[in-house]
Amino acid sequence: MVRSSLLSYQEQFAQQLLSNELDQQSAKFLQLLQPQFGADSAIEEGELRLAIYRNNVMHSLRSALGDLYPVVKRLIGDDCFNMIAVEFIRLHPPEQAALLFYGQGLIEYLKQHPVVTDLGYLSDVAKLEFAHHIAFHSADVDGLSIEKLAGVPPEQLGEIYFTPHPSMSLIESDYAVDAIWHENIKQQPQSIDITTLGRGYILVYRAGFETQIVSLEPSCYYFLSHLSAGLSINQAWLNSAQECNEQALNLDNDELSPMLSYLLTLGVFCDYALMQKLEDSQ
Amino acid sequence: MQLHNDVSIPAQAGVGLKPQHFNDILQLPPDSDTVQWFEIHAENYMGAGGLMHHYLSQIRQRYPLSIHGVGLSLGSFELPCERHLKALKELINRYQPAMVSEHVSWSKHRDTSYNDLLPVPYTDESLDVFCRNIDKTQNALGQQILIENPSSYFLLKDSDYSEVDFINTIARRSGCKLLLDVNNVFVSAANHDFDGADYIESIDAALVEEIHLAGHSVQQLLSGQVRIDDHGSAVCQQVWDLYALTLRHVGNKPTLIEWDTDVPTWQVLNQQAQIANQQLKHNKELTNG
Repeated sequence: MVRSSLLSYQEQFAQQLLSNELDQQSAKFLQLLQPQFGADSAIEEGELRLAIYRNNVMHSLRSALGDLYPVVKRLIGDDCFNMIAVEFIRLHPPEQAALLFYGQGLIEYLKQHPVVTDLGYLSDVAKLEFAHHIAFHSADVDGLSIEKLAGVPPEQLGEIYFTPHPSMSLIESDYAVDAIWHENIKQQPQSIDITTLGRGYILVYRAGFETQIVSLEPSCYYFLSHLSAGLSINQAWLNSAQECNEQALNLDNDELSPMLSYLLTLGVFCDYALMQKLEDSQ
Repeated sequence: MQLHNDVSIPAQAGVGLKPQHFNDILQLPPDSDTVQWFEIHAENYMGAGGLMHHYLSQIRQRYPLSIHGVGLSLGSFELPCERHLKALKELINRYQPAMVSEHVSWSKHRDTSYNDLLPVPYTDESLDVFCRNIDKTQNALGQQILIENPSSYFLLKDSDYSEVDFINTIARRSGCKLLLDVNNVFVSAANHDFDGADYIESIDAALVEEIHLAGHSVQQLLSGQVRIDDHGSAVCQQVWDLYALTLRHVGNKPTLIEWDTDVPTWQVLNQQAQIANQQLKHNKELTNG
């Protein structure tokens, strides 16, 4: 029996843990085990013992994905979800031991999966659930209150730019996936006709310990997107006005102040600064 | 955060901290002394904030804490992951645990973390790898760690040492201490047909700082039964008996009740802690009398 180095052993075992089924490589790996079982059934016993580890790994990772995406799982059913999850785990196993960092890739995987491709909303529901998860675990930071801006001279207000709250995500979807989510976290969800609900412009964030999923007006969504991307209030508003114009949506300048108050009241920013005039320093 | 003043953990029962019990724990009367400390899985608290940390902070203000890692993979051919060590260090700084522990196993290979505790061959090469990885860990964390004996479903042909000699040697060479999981000894002894009592009595008593107790399940395979370390049930009588023997050998130590799957009510978990405390009391009387 050739002595197998630790690396070789771990290489072989790792391969066995997530493979589709046991094969010739498995037989080679099982040679490394002590033949402690009766000679007649040594190979089969070895396979069953190996199966314990394979099941442990796959089951725990599948559970983790199910816990991360409970609404997606509810929408397509346990069997379908588990089948897709197992495929995903084999293709994209976790890199980190802390599983709270695992599973974002399932969003894209669902989008292109032939079995669920007719459920156009599914991937965006997953996106929403992942955003909820991120918000749940995000750092404890106070939201910026409107009072903090009281000291800014009025003529400089437009030059303010904000730091988004670490819990914040924005999701634009062809579907009102927030409505799907709100319905499907209930004990007894009813079916909803999403064709009547229009597009989704969704804000996910956490204020205190409550994770919030909020449906925004498109204009407010665009404004918040630009602010979160680091644009000043003025620039964000200009960009939003342009986007609204392109979609024949109305956006009056006197909506800016109430919209900003609304966002500040929610608590979607955690800090602000005044934009430096780059031209001045050149 | 105002931490519980008494950072050290008494030789009494503790339990694994579960979100299902957060409110039960915070509502315990001040004179409740069945459960005297808690242990967390490090990886569950590696997010930045939110409810998990909120509750843990409150609990930590009242009780001492032990941090038990499952993902560092001390037995990997590769060095422990820097990012993981950094996250562990941050957690230690934040919560000032009295004990930090990990496993005699591996879970990571190259870029993948397999989320299970996998067996190692008990060879000189493995010994060197463990000692190197424990050195790196203890230096990075700035403190001594405990390593836990494994449960396993097969043994490897390639072995220079018995498991107990392997573990004693790692601890003596690296300066770490031992977390003796009595359920793991029982499960492995049943699965590999050795005597659990012999194993316990061969463990270097001076190295043991913590004891784990848990439940396991039994599965029928071809040639007999296998015991699965699933932490999904009460501690069985045979493990309580082995625990009594353990206490006689190592002395009274902080004893943790682990129940990670099909988590029971707080009352049921508390009952397990009571049994452990009774045995600790009995052992104290035996050794004093």
